[in-house]
Amino acid sequence: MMIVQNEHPLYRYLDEEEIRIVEQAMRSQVFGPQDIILSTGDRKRDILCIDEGQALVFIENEAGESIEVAILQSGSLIGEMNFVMPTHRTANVKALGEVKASIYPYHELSAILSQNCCIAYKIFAALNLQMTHKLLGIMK
Amino acid sequence: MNIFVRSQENDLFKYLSDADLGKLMAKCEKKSLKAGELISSNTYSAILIVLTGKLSRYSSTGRKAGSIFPGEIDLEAGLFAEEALNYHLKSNGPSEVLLCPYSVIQNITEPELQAQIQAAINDSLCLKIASLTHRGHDDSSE
Repeated sequence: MMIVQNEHPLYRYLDEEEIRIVEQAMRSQVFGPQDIILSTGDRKRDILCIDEGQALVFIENEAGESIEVAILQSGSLIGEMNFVMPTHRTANVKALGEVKASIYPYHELSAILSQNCCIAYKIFAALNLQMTHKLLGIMK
Repeated sequence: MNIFVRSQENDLFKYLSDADLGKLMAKCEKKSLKAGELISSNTYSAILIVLTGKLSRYSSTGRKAGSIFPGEIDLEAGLFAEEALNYHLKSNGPSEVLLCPYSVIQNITEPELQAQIQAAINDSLCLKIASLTHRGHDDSSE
Protein backbone atom coordinates (compact mmCIF):
# COMPACT_ATOMS: atom_id res chain seq x y z
CA MET A 1 0.00 0.00 0.00
CA MET A 2 1.32 3.46 -0.85
CA ILE A 3 1.56 6.09 1.85
CA VAL A 4 0.33 9.59 1.03
CA GLN A 5 3.20 11.89 1.98
CA ASN A 6 1.86 15.27 0.86
CA GLU A 7 -0.76 16.91 -1.37
CA HIS A 8 1.50 17.68 -4.34
CA PRO A 9 -0.09 16.12 -7.45
CA LEU A 10 3.16 14.55 -8.64
CA TYR A 11 5.04 14.02 -5.36
CA ARG A 12 2.05 12.62 -3.46
CA TYR A 13 3.74 9.31 -2.60
CA LEU A 14 7.40 10.46 -2.58
CA ASP A 15 9.47 10.95 0.56
CA GLU A 16 11.79 13.94 0.96
CA GLU A 17 14.84 12.20 -0.49
CA GLU A 18 12.85 11.04 -3.54
CA ILE A 19 11.49 14.55 -4.04
CA ARG A 20 15.05 15.90 -4.07
CA ILE A 21 15.94 13.43 -6.82
CA VAL A 22 12.92 14.33 -8.97
CA GLU A 23 13.58 18.04 -8.47
CA GLN A 24 16.91 17.59 -10.27
CA ALA A 25 14.80 17.40 -13.45
CA MET A 26 12.58 20.35 -12.57
CA ARG A 27 12.87 23.97 -13.63
CA SER A 28 10.69 26.87 -12.56
CA GLN A 29 9.09 29.37 -14.90
CA VAL A 30 6.97 32.45 -14.34
CA PHE A 31 4.29 33.29 -16.91
CA GLY A 32 2.84 36.77 -17.15
CA PRO A 33 -0.89 37.50 -17.45
CA GLN A 34 -2.30 36.16 -20.77
CA ASP A 35 0.94 34.33 -21.59
CA ILE A 36 0.32 31.08 -23.44
CA ILE A 37 1.59 28.16 -21.37
CA LEU A 38 0.64 25.40 -23.84
CA SER A 39 -0.72 25.47 -27.37
CA THR A 40 -2.94 23.00 -29.21
CA GLY A 41 -0.88 20.81 -31.52
CA ASP A 42 2.31 21.22 -29.50
CA ARG A 43 4.04 17.84 -29.38
CA LYS A 44 6.12 18.46 -26.25
CA ARG A 45 5.67 15.84 -23.53
CA ASP A 46 6.75 17.86 -20.49
CA ILE A 47 4.58 17.86 -17.36
CA LEU A 48 3.81 21.20 -15.72
CA CYS A 49 2.52 21.88 -12.25
CA ILE A 50 0.91 25.21 -11.40
CA ASP A 51 2.52 26.26 -8.13
CA GLU A 52 0.86 29.68 -7.87
CA GLY A 53 -1.85 31.45 -9.84
CA GLN A 54 -4.62 30.37 -12.18
CA ALA A 55 -4.65 29.27 -15.81
CA LEU A 56 -7.43 29.00 -18.36
CA VAL A 57 -7.83 25.91 -20.54
CA PHE A 58 -9.53 26.72 -23.82
CA ILE A 59 -10.04 25.29 -27.29
CA GLU A 60 -10.97 26.96 -30.55
CA ASN A 61 -14.01 25.83 -32.53
CA GLU A 62 -14.09 25.63 -36.33
CA ALA A 63 -15.09 29.29 -36.50
CA GLY A 64 -11.96 30.21 -34.56
CA GLU A 65 -13.91 31.19 -31.46
CA SER A 66 -12.37 30.43 -28.08
CA ILE A 67 -14.33 28.09 -25.86
CA GLU A 68 -13.40 27.95 -22.19
CA VAL A 69 -12.98 24.42 -20.89
CA ALA A 70 -11.71 24.84 -17.35
CA ILE A 71 -9.84 27.07 -14.94
CA LEU A 72 -6.85 25.39 -13.33
CA GLN A 73 -5.89 26.37 -9.80
CA SER A 74 -2.54 26.09 -8.08
CA GLY A 75 -1.73 22.44 -7.48
CA SER A 76 -3.01 21.39 -10.91
CA LEU A 77 -1.01 19.25 -13.30
CA ILE A 78 -0.90 20.03 -16.99
CA GLY A 79 0.26 17.71 -19.75
CA GLU A 80 0.19 14.38 -17.93
CA MET A 81 -1.65 12.70 -20.83
CA ASN A 82 1.05 13.64 -23.31
CA PHE A 83 3.69 12.50 -20.86
CA VAL A 84 2.16 9.03 -20.85
CA MET A 85 1.30 8.74 -24.55
CA PRO A 86 3.00 10.52 -27.43
CA THR A 87 0.33 12.64 -29.09
CA HIS A 88 -0.15 16.39 -29.26
CA ARG A 89 -1.61 18.92 -26.89
CA THR A 90 -5.36 19.05 -27.37
CA ALA A 91 -6.08 22.40 -25.75
CA ASN A 92 -4.52 25.77 -25.11
CA VAL A 93 -3.60 26.93 -21.65
CA LYS A 94 -2.96 30.56 -20.79
CA ALA A 95 -2.07 32.35 -17.59
CA LEU A 96 -4.94 34.37 -16.11
CA GLY A 97 -2.64 36.41 -13.90
CA GLU A 98 0.95 35.76 -13.00
CA VAL A 99 1.51 32.00 -12.88
CA LYS A 100 4.46 30.27 -11.28
CA ALA A 101 4.92 26.78 -12.65
CA SER A 102 7.26 23.86 -12.19
CA ILE A 103 8.20 22.20 -15.45
CA TYR A 104 9.38 18.58 -15.62
CA PRO A 105 10.96 18.02 -19.02
CA TYR A 106 10.03 14.62 -20.48
CA HIS A 107 13.52 13.33 -21.21
CA GLU A 108 15.04 14.43 -17.91
CA LEU A 109 12.18 13.01 -15.85
CA SER A 110 12.14 9.78 -17.89
CA ALA A 111 15.86 9.34 -17.27
CA ILE A 112 15.33 9.56 -13.51
CA LEU A 113 12.38 7.16 -13.60
CA SER A 114 14.32 4.67 -15.73
CA GLN A 115 17.03 4.52 -13.10
CA ASN A 116 14.78 4.34 -10.05
CA CYS A 117 11.80 2.00 -10.15
CA CYS A 118 10.70 2.97 -6.64
CA ILE A 119 10.28 6.61 -7.69
CA ALA A 120 8.80 5.51 -11.03
CA TYR A 121 5.98 3.52 -9.50
CA LYS A 122 5.09 6.34 -7.11
CA ILE A 123 5.06 8.94 -9.89
CA PHE A 124 3.05 6.61 -12.14
CA ALA A 125 0.58 6.00 -9.31
CA ALA A 126 0.22 9.76 -8.73
CA LEU A 127 -0.50 10.19 -12.44
CA ASN A 128 -3.02 7.36 -12.26
CA LEU A 129 -4.83 9.16 -9.46
CA GLN A 130 -5.00 12.35 -11.55
CA MET A 131 -6.24 10.44 -14.60
CA THR A 132 -8.81 8.55 -12.52
CA HIS A 133 -10.31 11.88 -11.42
CA LYS A 134 -10.33 13.03 -15.04
CA LEU A 135 -11.97 9.82 -16.28
CA LEU A 136 -14.67 9.87 -13.61
CA GLY A 137 -15.33 13.53 -14.41
CA ILE A 138 -15.87 12.64 -18.07
CA MET A 139 -18.15 9.73 -17.15
CA LYS A 140 -20.49 11.94 -15.10
CA MET B 1 6.24 6.66 -20.91
CA ASN B 2 8.70 4.47 -22.71
CA ILE B 3 10.82 3.13 -19.88
CA PHE B 4 9.43 -0.40 -20.31
CA VAL B 5 9.05 -2.58 -23.39
CA ARG B 6 5.86 -4.49 -24.02
CA SER B 7 6.35 -8.23 -23.79
CA GLN B 8 2.89 -9.65 -23.01
CA GLU B 9 -0.48 -9.70 -24.75
CA ASN B 10 -2.83 -8.35 -22.09
CA ASP B 11 -2.81 -4.68 -21.19
CA LEU B 12 -2.37 -5.06 -17.43
CA PHE B 13 0.65 -7.36 -17.55
CA LYS B 14 2.09 -5.99 -20.80
CA TYR B 15 5.47 -5.01 -19.32
CA LEU B 16 5.99 -8.11 -17.16
CA SER B 17 8.52 -10.89 -17.61
CA ASP B 18 7.14 -14.40 -18.21
CA ALA B 19 8.02 -15.34 -14.61
CA ASP B 20 6.19 -12.33 -13.09
CA LEU B 21 3.27 -12.88 -15.44
CA GLY B 22 2.92 -16.45 -14.17
CA LYS B 23 3.04 -15.32 -10.52
CA LEU B 24 0.30 -12.73 -10.95
CA MET B 25 -1.90 -14.80 -13.26
CA ALA B 26 -1.99 -17.47 -10.54
CA LYS B 27 -3.65 -14.92 -8.24
CA CYS B 28 -6.36 -13.95 -10.76
CA GLU B 29 -9.76 -15.51 -11.06
CA LYS B 30 -11.26 -16.51 -14.39
CA LYS B 31 -14.97 -15.87 -14.77
CA SER B 32 -17.53 -16.53 -17.48
CA LEU B 33 -20.12 -13.83 -18.12
CA LYS B 34 -23.53 -14.34 -19.67
CA ALA B 35 -24.85 -12.01 -22.35
CA GLY B 36 -26.17 -8.87 -20.65
CA GLU B 37 -24.45 -9.54 -17.33
CA LEU B 38 -23.51 -6.34 -15.51
CA ILE B 39 -20.16 -5.73 -13.83
CA SER B 40 -19.16 -2.79 -11.65
CA SER B 41 -16.59 -1.93 -9.03
CA ASN B 42 -19.35 -2.71 -6.52
CA THR B 43 -19.54 -6.24 -7.89
CA TYR B 44 -15.81 -6.95 -7.91
CA SER B 45 -12.87 -5.16 -6.27
CA ALA B 46 -10.66 -6.17 -9.13
CA ILE B 47 -9.18 -5.08 -12.41
CA LEU B 48 -10.99 -6.85 -15.21
CA ILE B 49 -9.12 -8.25 -18.21
CA VAL B 50 -11.24 -9.36 -21.15
CA LEU B 51 -10.16 -12.76 -22.48
CA THR B 52 -12.90 -13.48 -25.01
CA GLY B 53 -16.03 -11.65 -26.16
CA LYS B 54 -16.69 -7.94 -25.76
CA LEU B 55 -17.98 -5.70 -22.98
CA SER B 56 -19.50 -2.23 -23.24
CA ARG B 57 -19.04 0.64 -20.80
CA TYR B 58 -22.06 2.68 -19.66
CA SER B 59 -22.31 5.79 -17.53
CA SER B 60 -24.71 5.84 -14.58
CA THR B 61 -27.22 7.61 -16.84
CA GLY B 62 -27.07 4.73 -19.33
CA ARG B 63 -24.97 6.49 -21.97
CA LYS B 64 -22.66 4.10 -23.80
CA ALA B 65 -19.05 5.19 -23.45
CA GLY B 66 -16.86 2.72 -25.26
CA SER B 67 -16.15 -0.99 -25.57
CA ILE B 68 -13.57 -3.30 -24.06
CA PHE B 69 -12.05 -5.93 -26.33
CA PRO B 70 -9.94 -9.02 -25.60
CA GLY B 71 -6.63 -8.08 -24.02
CA GLU B 72 -7.98 -4.76 -22.76
CA ILE B 73 -8.69 -3.93 -19.14
CA ASP B 74 -11.23 -1.96 -17.14
CA LEU B 75 -12.16 -1.06 -13.55
CA GLU B 76 -8.50 -0.10 -12.98
CA ALA B 77 -9.72 3.35 -11.88
CA GLY B 78 -11.22 1.61 -8.85
CA LEU B 79 -7.70 1.22 -7.48
CA PHE B 80 -7.49 5.01 -7.08
CA ALA B 81 -11.08 6.18 -6.67
CA GLU B 82 -12.29 7.05 -3.18
CA GLU B 83 -15.80 5.85 -4.03
CA ALA B 84 -17.40 3.25 -6.28
CA LEU B 85 -16.89 4.02 -9.97
CA ASN B 86 -19.67 6.00 -11.62
CA TYR B 87 -19.99 3.62 -14.54
CA HIS B 88 -20.55 -0.05 -15.18
CA LEU B 89 -19.80 -2.67 -17.79
CA LYS B 90 -22.12 -5.02 -19.64
CA SER B 91 -21.18 -8.19 -21.43
CA ASN B 92 -22.40 -7.96 -25.02
CA GLY B 93 -22.54 -11.72 -25.44
CA PRO B 94 -20.97 -14.67 -23.62
CA SER B 95 -17.54 -13.47 -22.47
CA GLU B 96 -14.65 -14.69 -20.39
CA VAL B 97 -12.76 -12.32 -18.14
CA LEU B 98 -9.87 -12.52 -15.73
CA LEU B 99 -10.23 -10.65 -12.44
CA CYS B 100 -7.08 -9.40 -10.76
CA PRO B 101 -8.07 -8.31 -7.21
CA TYR B 102 -7.00 -4.78 -6.22
CA SER B 103 -5.40 -6.36 -3.15
CA VAL B 104 -3.03 -8.35 -5.38
CA ILE B 105 -1.81 -5.11 -7.01
CA GLN B 106 -1.66 -3.28 -3.67
CA ASN B 107 0.39 -6.03 -2.06
CA ILE B 108 3.14 -6.18 -4.69
CA THR B 109 6.40 -5.32 -2.95
CA GLU B 110 8.98 -5.44 -5.78
CA PRO B 111 9.50 -1.84 -7.02
CA GLU B 112 10.12 -2.84 -10.64
CA LEU B 113 6.96 -4.95 -10.77
CA GLN B 114 4.99 -2.15 -9.09
CA ALA B 115 6.31 0.32 -11.67
CA GLN B 116 5.50 -2.00 -14.58
CA ILE B 117 1.90 -2.42 -13.39
CA GLN B 118 1.41 1.30 -12.68
CA ALA B 119 2.88 2.16 -16.10
CA ALA B 120 0.44 -0.23 -17.76
CA ILE B 121 -2.44 1.41 -15.89
CA ASN B 122 -1.12 4.84 -16.99
CA ASP B 123 -1.44 3.68 -20.58
CA SER B 124 -4.92 2.23 -20.15
CA LEU B 125 -6.39 5.26 -18.33
CA CYS B 126 -4.80 7.62 -20.83
CA LEU B 127 -6.27 5.71 -23.79
CA LYS B 128 -9.72 5.68 -22.19
CA ILE B 129 -9.67 9.43 -21.59
CA ALA B 130 -8.34 10.10 -25.09
CA SER B 131 -10.99 7.92 -26.73
CA LEU B 132 -13.77 9.58 -24.74
CA THR B 133 -12.60 13.17 -25.28
CA HIS B 134 -11.08 13.08 -28.76
CA ARG B 135 -13.63 10.96 -30.57
CA GLY B 136 -16.65 12.00 -28.52
CA HIS B 137 -19.03 9.65 -26.86
CA ASP B 138 -20.80 6.80 -28.50
CA ASP B 139 -24.25 8.19 -27.86
CA SER B 140 -26.19 4.97 -28.01
CA SER B 141 -27.82 4.08 -24.74
CA GLU B 142 -28.23 0.89 -22.80
